[in-house]
Amino acid sequence: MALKTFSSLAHLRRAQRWHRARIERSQLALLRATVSAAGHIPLYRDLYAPCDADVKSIDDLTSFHRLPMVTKGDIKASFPDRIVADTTDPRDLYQVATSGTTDRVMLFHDERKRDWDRAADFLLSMQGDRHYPGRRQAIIPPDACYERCGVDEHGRVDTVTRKLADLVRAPRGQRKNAARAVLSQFMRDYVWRCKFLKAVGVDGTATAAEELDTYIGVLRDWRPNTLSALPMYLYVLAKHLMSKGPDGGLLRGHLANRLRPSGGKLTDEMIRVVESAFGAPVRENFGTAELGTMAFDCPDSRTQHLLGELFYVEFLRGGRHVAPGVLGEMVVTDLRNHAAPLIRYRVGDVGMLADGACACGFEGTRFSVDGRLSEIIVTPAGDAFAGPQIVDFFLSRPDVDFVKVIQKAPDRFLAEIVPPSDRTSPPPADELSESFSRFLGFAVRVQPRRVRRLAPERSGKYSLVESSSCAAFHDAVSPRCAPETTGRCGEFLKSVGDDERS
Amino acid sequence: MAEPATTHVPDLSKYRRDFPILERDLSGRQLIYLDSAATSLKPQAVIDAVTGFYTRYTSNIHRAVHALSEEATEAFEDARATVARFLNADIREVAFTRNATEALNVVSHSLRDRGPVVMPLSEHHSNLVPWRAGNSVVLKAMPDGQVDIEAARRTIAETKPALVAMSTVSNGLGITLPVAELTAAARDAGAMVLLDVSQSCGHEPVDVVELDCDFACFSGHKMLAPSGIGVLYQREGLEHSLEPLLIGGAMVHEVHVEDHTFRPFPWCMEAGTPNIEGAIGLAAACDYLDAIGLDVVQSHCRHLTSMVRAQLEALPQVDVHVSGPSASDSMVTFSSKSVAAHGVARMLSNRFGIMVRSGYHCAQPVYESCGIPESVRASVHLYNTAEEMDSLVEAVSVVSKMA
Repeated sequence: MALKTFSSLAHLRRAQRWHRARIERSQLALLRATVSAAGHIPLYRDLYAPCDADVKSIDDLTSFHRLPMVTKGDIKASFPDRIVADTTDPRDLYQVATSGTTDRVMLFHDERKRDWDRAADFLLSMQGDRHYPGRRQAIIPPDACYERCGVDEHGRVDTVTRKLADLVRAPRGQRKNAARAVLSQFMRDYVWRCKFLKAVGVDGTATAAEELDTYIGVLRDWRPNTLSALPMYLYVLAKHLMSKGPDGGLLRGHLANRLRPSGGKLTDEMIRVVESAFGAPVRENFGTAELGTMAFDCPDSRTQHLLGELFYVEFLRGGRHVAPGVLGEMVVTDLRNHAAPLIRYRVGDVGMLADGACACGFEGTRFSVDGRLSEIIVTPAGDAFAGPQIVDFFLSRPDVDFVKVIQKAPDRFLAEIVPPSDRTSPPPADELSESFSRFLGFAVRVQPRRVRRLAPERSGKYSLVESSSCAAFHDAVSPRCAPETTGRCGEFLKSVGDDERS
Repeated sequence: MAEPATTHVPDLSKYRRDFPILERDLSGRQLIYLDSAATSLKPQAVIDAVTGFYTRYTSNIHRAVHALSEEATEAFEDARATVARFLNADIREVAFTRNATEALNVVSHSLRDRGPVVMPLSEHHSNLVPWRAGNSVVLKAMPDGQVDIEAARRTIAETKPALVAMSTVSNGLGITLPVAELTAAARDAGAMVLLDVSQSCGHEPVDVVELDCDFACFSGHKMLAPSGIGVLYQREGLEHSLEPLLIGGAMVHEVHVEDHTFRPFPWCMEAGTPNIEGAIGLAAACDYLDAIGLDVVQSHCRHLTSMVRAQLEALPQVDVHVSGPSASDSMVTFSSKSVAAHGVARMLSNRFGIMVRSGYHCAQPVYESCGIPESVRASVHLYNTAEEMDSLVEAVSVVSKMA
């Protein structure tokens, strides 16, 4: 296992330096192999049959782009036997939970895919985060994640000793898994030196100062190289630090060397606040539970560098590929999961391609992730605003500490606002409506509402924008031979399978 | 609360087609429904939400791990989140009940022995009678049924009650109560505040944070949702104030041979299988109203009631019971000088296809105290029109001359 992982890592590192033509050649070969593997999968056989798609005739990207897309809903509905190649040995398969934190099993990886995943994680840590084995890492998982992360609601954590005890007690048929758990725990504790802290909890943005101080205390004492947490956790901690004074109560620069949001995206305004409060840079990566680590950001351009030997990414709007710099729905093909492939898979995120090579010399695919598809606000003129843009409009105001924006009707918004502690009321509705109308470019009405806090969803994550116009963004996206997604976003999201919504 | 007429009166006529029942005719007459204070009509969105549960994912919740149960559980808890947002509350503050009456009884069951409870005389029977088992103090009504604020302040200050319980809008005479003033008086006396928002929820924005209440309740069926579903809001921080009225499955955390523990609020208030489809329908109603805008609904209803109130007051055979700043935005109560209330209501129904309520409207004490006879109540919602108001006035004029 280790050898394959390290040979994969070496391959990925080399591929980072390939020139564009070589990357594209390799990706096309991998795409063909993946689509060929899909010929053994009942889901894809049924999906492609009505479209006369011949998996053997994928000889260029144009023919690949004609293949129908799949959604999370398709994958879940086909679990387990209809998404697995009938040539795969079931003993080779590992269950994968979707939506990261909600822990719902939806897919399988085989051992080879896991090797690539591990290699990608290594590369992310070392090249993306500058985080090498042996350096400390603090992780604050979302509320619902303690079973997967090995940390319970009281902050108790799993240990290698406990896993060894499980191994000793495990019945014969379960020893292989128990042994893997020991190894994973060993890697977590002694190679990556992860310290898990308990989730911030359901009080969300109104978490008590004393409780936030306990996190700060752990970080001050442990002093991790990397602090990884939900974006909102980082923001709440940053706000708390700023409340202690301009230098965060002498803690600025003494809590972590790098900050890595996980399970979501920090907006630009949030990044500004978080970096300023912690005195450390934010480094973002992109990946999902079912796909693995896909990309990590480059400080030279603040764009995500795709691991092109593992994934192929497209950005579409209205069924057409968009040009670099234009917002589109992200569609991903996993080039290494041949046991249960994800081909033209709608992950539910939006972003845009970056043009040309990076200043660091990377010639592969670069992109930015700009939030969730369900957060897109589309104006009557067809202009699309990503969720983080909407959030930043409000956060840039001095009378807003935290905000959640809900589009009630095309021209009507509810803004749930937690004002700063020195203000008791939210901004006036007329003034807010006028400035938001200017921002969006059409007349809207905003109802500001003071709330005590923003609470997490059941998944533990925070959704800061709810759009009722996002369907307009992906209409005619043609995931099937005929368009499937019209109407309300809620219905669409059921088809995409975004079960992280509350 | 009656305010000067707005310059802009929203046109909500396009929403009438969302209410399939309005297509019904009664003996050749088009239905005019003016009894929304008793129960409202249901839009297709609510009907579809309830039907969707029956046709696509009927299942019990919180128990099984199969797909239908997961879907139903998600829809039920999503409904809680939707309702919570509708009230500006947290999901941990919102329990589903059968209706406002059950919610009031839960609070009464838990709090009536903790000290005096003060409530206005104009309250619905469900917010008067349950408190009689304890030490209840009723705030006397002025001749028009409204609370005398100064007297109320004195009573609350002297009584030092555990709770002040009141409606935002009294359904009996159609009075908007001085909630802010009474709440301030309650706070000064160290009392908790319970608000029955049944007559305002769905007609105007209800924000439990702005209202500064500890408890709030309403029935879903008065705000376009199905019958049999209601809400009890309990402010965070009062987790141990209420005791469950019903004990059973789903509300227990652990049950051992000799002891058991309850789940926290709100789940401890939802013993047994709840009204799943009702909660889903209620959430659909919240979404529907939100999409139109409650401020828009309020302006519309205010326009209709102020219009009909003025026209009825001009009829010599009719007494309108509440007018001026105390008058509700959503209902008008009146009596004919010549025909008893039930007679008026029956004739309006039989001869004109107009559905109104008659009697004491579950608020008999305030009628007796003010010397007001049984009344006719016309209550409106977003689906009513100015033309319907004209039809009502014309019909009342005809009926009142019949004696």
